[in-house]
Amino acid sequence: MLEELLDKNIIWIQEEADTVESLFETMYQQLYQKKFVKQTFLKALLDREQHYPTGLELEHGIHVGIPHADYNQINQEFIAVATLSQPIRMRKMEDFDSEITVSIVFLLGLKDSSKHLNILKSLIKLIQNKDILDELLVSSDSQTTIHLLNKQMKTLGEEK
Amino acid sequence: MSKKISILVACGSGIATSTIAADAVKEVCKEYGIDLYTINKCSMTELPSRAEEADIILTTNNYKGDLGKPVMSIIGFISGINEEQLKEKLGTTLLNLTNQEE
Repeated sequence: MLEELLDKNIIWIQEEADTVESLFETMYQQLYQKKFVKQTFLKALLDREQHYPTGLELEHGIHVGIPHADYNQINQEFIAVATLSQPIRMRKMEDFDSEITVSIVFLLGLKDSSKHLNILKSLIKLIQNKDILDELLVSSDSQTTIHLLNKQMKTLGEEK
Repeated sequence: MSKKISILVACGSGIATSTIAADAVKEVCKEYGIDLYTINKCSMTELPSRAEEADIILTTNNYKGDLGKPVMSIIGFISGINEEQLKEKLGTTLLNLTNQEE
């Protein structure tokens, strides 16, 4: 299941971005070109982030973003990942008046999240695990990143 | 007599985080022996119009405004921060609601 969502064309390694908006723009260009999303996806994503931000503050100190847009913007389901050369600022999910800096962004393109409940649960466990995030941050190519995500999420999914 | 409680879980789009959070809420209900409940998900935009049907509203985003119903943040189910305390607080709150008379 997870293997079908990860694609080496939509993994960004040590991406340089000044703002979350410019990162979304970069990711969108590729996602649109590869027909994962509709043309209106970028606007929907930015709107949603504006009103309901998705920056997640985590206990271990490596914060992440989990942006996602409406299911009707998506042609083919995916999870796109970007590690950043420099952390960028995002507003916090539980308090949109405060900001954190995030090092990794998981852009979730899911149409039916109930179908992907186990993947979402594994992803949440994954982002709470500092060791795995550290490994992701040092990965220098997309194949390694995909391999690592597949392996770790499978292990985490099997845990109770 | 315990009453059936109606739980509403809201997140930005009603897609990703509310699905994870709703699953965690079900686990808490199980742990606290709460059987009589319904759980629904919605987006933050839908929240004002859906609040009436709920006994308690659980959100991953902050909601600024009065919905006339108890609102609790359940971001801990996503971030893992203070998750144990959150489970306990939620379990106790839901039990209290269950035991309230109509």
